This record gives sequence, structure tokens and C-alpha cells, in this order.
Amino acid sequence: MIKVEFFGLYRLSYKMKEWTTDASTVEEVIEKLAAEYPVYSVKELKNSVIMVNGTNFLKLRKFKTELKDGDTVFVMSPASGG
Amino acid sequence: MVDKLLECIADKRIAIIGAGGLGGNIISFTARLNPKEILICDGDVFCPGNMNRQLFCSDLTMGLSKAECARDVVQHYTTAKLTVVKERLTRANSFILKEFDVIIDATDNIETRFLLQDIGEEYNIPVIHGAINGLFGQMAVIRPKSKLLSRLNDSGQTPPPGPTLSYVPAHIATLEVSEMVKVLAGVSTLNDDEIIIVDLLTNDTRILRI
Repeated sequence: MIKVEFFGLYRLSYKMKEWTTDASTVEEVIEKLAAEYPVYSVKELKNSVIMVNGTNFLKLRKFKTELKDGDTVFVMSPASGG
Repeated sequence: MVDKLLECIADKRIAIIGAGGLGGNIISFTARLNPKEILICDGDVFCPGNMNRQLFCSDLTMGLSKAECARDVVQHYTTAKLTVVKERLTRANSFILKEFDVIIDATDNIETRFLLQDIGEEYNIPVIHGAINGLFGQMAVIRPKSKLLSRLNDSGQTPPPGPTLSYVPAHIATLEVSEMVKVLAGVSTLNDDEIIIVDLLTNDTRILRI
């Protein structure tokens, strides 16, 4: 199982801090999340800051980053207000 | 330590971009530190929607310049020279920031934040970044050439800000001013690739490496 941790607006919108799912890539996590909780679309979720086991996924293979059982995907919406 | 920090900023020139939710608090905190100069830049005027969180917004200041209202209050408790720019910061007027020691981001949109990152890089000035959304906020130091904001907002898109509460911008403003003082004193421990994120609903505060 993959642990998906939310921060920022997502935590408020989904009304939960964590969610677990089966997925083999970050892209699959995003697609399953949007399907199960259609608060945000796949397109919107793809604008998130995403970390895989504490590493920015931009330094990995972005949405193609492969996941294995026990991995943690952190999903955050960057703040923009002032 | 407190005396040393105050001494370090006494000769510094600080530019604060935005005089709204974040900016009102940042201007107030910074003014009481008595730096050499504070520039307050904001082209906006107060409207009723600002009343819930913007320090200098009241029924007395409705429709008035945010930058001028901030100056009119803090001039009574600071020794800093106060410079007001009643214009939105753009590429065309960004030269006004050239001689400043630090720029504080108190803006409310991603476009101006990217402009601040570019200006900081061009003039070799650190930018103290802060932003809020709902009960969540973030703070980081965008040092020249770090491109931290570009890594944080890879797509250039952010969700529209949701409603917030008065203490959220005040909390992030505190973090921004605190880090500004440490940057100016040369004792900041926040690295080029780090961002502090805060969720005030759950008191969850972390440092992420972006």
C-alpha cells in the first residue's frame, strides 16, 4: 500500500490527513485520488508539490516515478494568497 | 543576541512589497525594529473584504491607499525612513528595489512573486517569501540563483486562495520578519532549498526540501 499524505488546502478539502491506495506510479496515485474524491481534477492535482519519501518528485521521474509498497507520497498545494 | 540582531539591521534598507494581510503585519513588526529605511509598495486601496485580516484596514481607512495608511500609523513608532510607492510593482518600476538589502514578499499573486524572484536575482538581493491559503501558510528565503519559487511552483499554477482568518497572515508574517532579521544578521539556518510549511488547523509545522 502507498500512504498518501495531504497538506495545505488538500487537507481541508479532503477532510483527512492521510489516505492509502495501491499504485505503481505517482500518476496512478493522482488518477485514483481524483476518481475516488472528485474535489480536484487530475489536471488540478498535477499542479501540486509532490514528494516521494521526502524527495521532490521533480528530482525523480515526476509523474512516472515508480512506487513500491510502503512508500509515502506527500501532496501539497502551494499557497498563493497574502 | 537580541541586541546583536537589532544592531545588524540598524543600517539596513528593507523593501516590503504588499501592504495587505501579510504586509500590514510585516510593516508593523519591521517598523519596531528600527532599520535605516523601509519601502512600502502597494498600488491597492482598502475595501470591505480586507477587514477580516488586514492590520491597517478599518472603517477609517476604507478606500484609502494601503501603503499610505501603513506609513501614517507606523511613522509614530519607528525611527526608520519610510518611503511609500503607491503603485503595483512591475518590471518597469522594479529599479526602485536596486539599492535595498532585502525584499519581503507580501504579495497576493504568483506573477508578482516570480517577478520578485527575478529582481532578487538581477540585483543580488535575498527575497523573503511568504504566502497563505486558508489555515495554511509557507515561508522561505529565495536567495539569488536558488530558483526556489520555480521549483515550488513548477507548473506556475496554484489553487485560488480560500478564505482565511486574521491570525494566519500574522503567523506567516512573524516567520518572514524573523527570517529577514536572521538573513540580515548572517545567522539564518534555513537553506536555499528549504521551505517552512505550517498548518494552523493541526499545528503541523515542517521544513521541506524542495
